[in-house]
Amino acid sequence: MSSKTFIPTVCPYCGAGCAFYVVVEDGRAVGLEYMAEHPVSEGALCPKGNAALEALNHPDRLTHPLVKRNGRFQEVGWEQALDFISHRLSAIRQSAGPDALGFLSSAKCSNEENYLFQKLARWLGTNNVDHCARLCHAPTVVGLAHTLGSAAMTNPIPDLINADCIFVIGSNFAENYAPVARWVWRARDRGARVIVADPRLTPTAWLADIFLQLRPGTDVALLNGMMHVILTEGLADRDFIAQRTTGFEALARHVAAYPPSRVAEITGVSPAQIVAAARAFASASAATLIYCMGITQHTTGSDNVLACADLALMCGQVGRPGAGLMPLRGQNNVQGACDMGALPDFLPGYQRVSNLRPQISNPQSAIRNPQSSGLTVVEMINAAYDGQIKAMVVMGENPILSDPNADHAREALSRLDLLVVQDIFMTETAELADVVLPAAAWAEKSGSYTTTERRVQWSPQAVQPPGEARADWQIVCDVARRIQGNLEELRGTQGGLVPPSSSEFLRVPQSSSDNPWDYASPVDVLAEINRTVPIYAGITPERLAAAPGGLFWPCPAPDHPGTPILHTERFATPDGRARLVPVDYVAPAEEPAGAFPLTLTTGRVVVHHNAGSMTRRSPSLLARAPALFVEVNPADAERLGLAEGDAVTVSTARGRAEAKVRITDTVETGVAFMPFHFEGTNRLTIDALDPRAKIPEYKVAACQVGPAKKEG
Amino acid sequence: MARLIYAHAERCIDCTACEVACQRVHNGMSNVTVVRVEGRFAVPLLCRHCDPAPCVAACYTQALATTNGTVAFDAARCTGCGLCLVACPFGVIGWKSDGRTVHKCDLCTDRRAAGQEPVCALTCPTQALSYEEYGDFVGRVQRRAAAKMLRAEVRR
Repeated sequence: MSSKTFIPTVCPYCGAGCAFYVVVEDGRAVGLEYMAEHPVSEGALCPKGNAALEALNHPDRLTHPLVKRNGRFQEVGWEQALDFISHRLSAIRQSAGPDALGFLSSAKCSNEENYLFQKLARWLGTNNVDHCARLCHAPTVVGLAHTLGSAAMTNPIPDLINADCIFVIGSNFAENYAPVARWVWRARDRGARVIVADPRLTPTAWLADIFLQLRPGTDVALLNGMMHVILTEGLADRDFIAQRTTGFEALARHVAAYPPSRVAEITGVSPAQIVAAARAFASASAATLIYCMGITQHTTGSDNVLACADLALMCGQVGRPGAGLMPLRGQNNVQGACDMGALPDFLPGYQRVSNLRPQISNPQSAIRNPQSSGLTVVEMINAAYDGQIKAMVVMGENPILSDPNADHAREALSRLDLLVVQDIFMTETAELADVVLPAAAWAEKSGSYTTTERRVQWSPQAVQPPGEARADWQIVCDVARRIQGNLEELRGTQGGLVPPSSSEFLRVPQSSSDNPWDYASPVDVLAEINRTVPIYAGITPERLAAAPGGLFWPCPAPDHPGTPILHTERFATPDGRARLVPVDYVAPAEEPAGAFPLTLTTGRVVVHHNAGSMTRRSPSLLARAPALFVEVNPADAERLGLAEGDAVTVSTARGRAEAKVRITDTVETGVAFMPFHFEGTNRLTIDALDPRAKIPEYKVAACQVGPAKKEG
Repeated sequence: MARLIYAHAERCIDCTACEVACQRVHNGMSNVTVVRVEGRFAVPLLCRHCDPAPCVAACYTQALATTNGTVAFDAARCTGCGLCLVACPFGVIGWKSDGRTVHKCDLCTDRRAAGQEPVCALTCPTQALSYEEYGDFVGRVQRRAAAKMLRAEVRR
C-alpha cells in the first residue's frame, strides 16, 4: 500500500499568502489538507484555494514545446525550441537593437524566477521588462514611494485585529482576499468600526457600519471631504503632523475647498455620512486604511493613492499596531515580482535604473547597462503595434485578456516578428505565439513567494511537472545559456551585449569561471538574491525552510528578525518624514453622455482569478460563475426594457461584448458592472492611462447596454 | 453532547468556499448551499441534524436515522422516493447526480474517523461556520452580544 505525504505549499492565487498541504500519493497530487497553523489563513481557504488542484491536474496542461509552422502548432523537442528562440532573439537584437525586445514577467512566478527573468532582459541590454503589477498597483508604487518612501503594505494582515477603525475604499476583499475578511471580523468582534466606500454594495460592504456608495472615480473628492471635516473639527493628529510629516500647511489650505456639501454633489454620498466616516476614522485610537484596485485603476490612480496616504498621515494612523495603509495586492507574488525588479524603472530592491553607474571594478569591459527606463506593459503593447518592439517573451501572462482595449492588444501581438510564451495552459495570448513553452505550475517547483504583507514564504516542490514541462527558472536559464553561445558574435554590436560578469547590480561572479546562468536549483538563485537585494539579505533559504510563517522584508541581515510593521520610527524618505501632497479631484477620462449614457465599472467575482486561465478550467469554480454578466440597477433595466437573464450587448466607443444581464439594486442607477475574468469585458475598457503610473482606467468607461445584437 | 456545524449567518460573505470544499470531499456533490438574500446577506444552509427530524419521520426504509445526536444516512437503504427532500424544512437534502438516491451532510464521517474536522468549518474564511458543541456556540454568541452592549454603554 502506498503512503501519502503532506507537502506544504503557498496558495497560487491571491496575495494573501494562505498555505495548505498538497497530499501526494505515488507522485501525484491527490488531495489537499488545511494548514491550521498558518498565521494568516489558520486553515481557511477561499473557493479558489479549495479548487487549486483542479487547475494543477487539468488535462489541458501543456506538456511539450510547440512551434508554429504554417499557422499550426507542432510539438518539438526542447533543444529545437530553445535553439529557435535563442537564434531569433539574437538576430532581432542584432538587427533592431536591444530595445526592440520586450519582456512580460509574471506575478504568478516565484521571486527566483522573476529575478532571473529581469536579469535576462537587462543582460540583453534592455529595461523593457514589466508585469501585471502595472495593471493593479503601479499608482501605489508612485504614490506611496513618494509619500512614505516605500510602496508596500505597512502592516501584516493579522494586525487588523489591533485596529479600532478599518476604512476600506475601493477594495472588495471579501471576494478577492477572503482571509482578510476573517481578520476584519475579528476586529469587529473587539468593537472596531468598519467603513466601506465602494460604488457597489459588495459582500465587503456587508461588513460595514458605515457604507459610502460613491460614484465611480470620485475617490479624491471623498477623501478630501473627509480631511476637510477632520481639520474643521480639530480631529487631526497635530503632534504626528509636526513631528513626522512635511507639507501640512499646503494640504490644509487645499482641502478647505472640499466642504461636505460640495463633496456630496460630486460623490453622491450625503454630507452626514461623510462627517460620520471622518469622525470614526480620525477618532479611533488605531485605524487602518485598506485600498485596492478601486483606488488604483483610474487615470487619477496616483492621486487617489496620495489622498489615501494624506488621510492616514493627517490622523497619525501609520506606523503602529493597528494603524497603517494596506494596499492589497492581487497575485500570489506580485509584491515579490516588484521587489525583484521585474519593472522597467527599477532594478531588484527598488534601485532606480537611472542610478546605475558603469561598473567601476571592471573598467576594461566595454559594457552598457541600460540607464533609461524601459517600456511599461501598455507602452510595450503600443510599441509592438507601431513596430518598435519586434520580439516579446511572455512568462505566464495573458495580456490579450488582461489588457485594456483587447482588440488593439491582439493586433499588436500579431505584428511581432517573434512571440514566445511560457505558460501552463494554451492561453488566448499563447495562441498567437510563435513558440509556446510548457511551464511547471507552482506545486511542481520550489521557490519563494512574497505576500501582499511583505511576508516571504518558501513553497517546496510537491510533484513533478507533467510531460516535458519545465520550471520557468529553468527555461530562462536554458534560453540565456543558448544565447551565451552566440555571445562572441553579438559582442560589440549595437548596445553591446552586457557581459554577465560586469553587471553592477548583480555583483555575482566570485571568479571568472562562474557562469551567471548556472544554477543548480532555486536555492542558488535565492542565495544570489540575498547578496544583491539588501531588503532580502537576511531572507536566506535556510531561514525560510525553518520559518513556516515566513519572514517580513526589510530583513537586511541573517540575524535580523524581519520587519512586520513599517515606519515605526521614521519613514523611508531621505529626511525620514512623510510627505503630505495635496491633490485635486479630476473627473475620469470618459464620462457617460450621448450614445453611452451609463458608467461601466469592472471588477471580480469570488470564484475567478484575474484572466481566468486557471479558474475557468476548474469545474467547481466555473459552475458557480460560468459566463460573462453585467449588473444593472432595476430602474435602468426597466428603462432599457431588460429582464433578468436577458442576453444583452454592452458597447463602448471601443467595442462590444455579449453578456447576461443581472438586475440588482446593489449598483446605483447609471452604473453597470462587469467582471473581467471573461473575454469581452476588456474589449470595452478604455486604455487612457494615469500619466505617472501608466495604469489604465479599468474602473470607469462610458457604455450602453441593450438587447443582444447579432454580429454583422 | 455531539459537536455540530453552526452557522453564524451575519459573518457569511457568500464566498462559497464551504460548497467547493464539501463537494471536493463528497464526490463532487456539496451538502452545503449558500443562499444570498437581496444582495445584502447570505446564509450557509446545511443539515441541522434535527431531533426529532422531519426527514427521519418521513423515511419509511430507515435510510435516515437519528444516531448519536446526528441524522445519519445509509445509501444502501435509500429507495429514492424523495419524501425526505419534501419533509426537510431547510431544503438541504439533494438528489445525487444519478437521480436515484439522495445526499446530505454526514459531518464528514470519514474525516472525523481520522481525527479531522469537517471541511466546511475548517475552510470558512470568516468563521461563519463552526464545528463545536452547542454550549460553546451559545457561549460565544452571548459573550459577543454582551461585549456589544458594553461598547454601546461606553459610547453613550
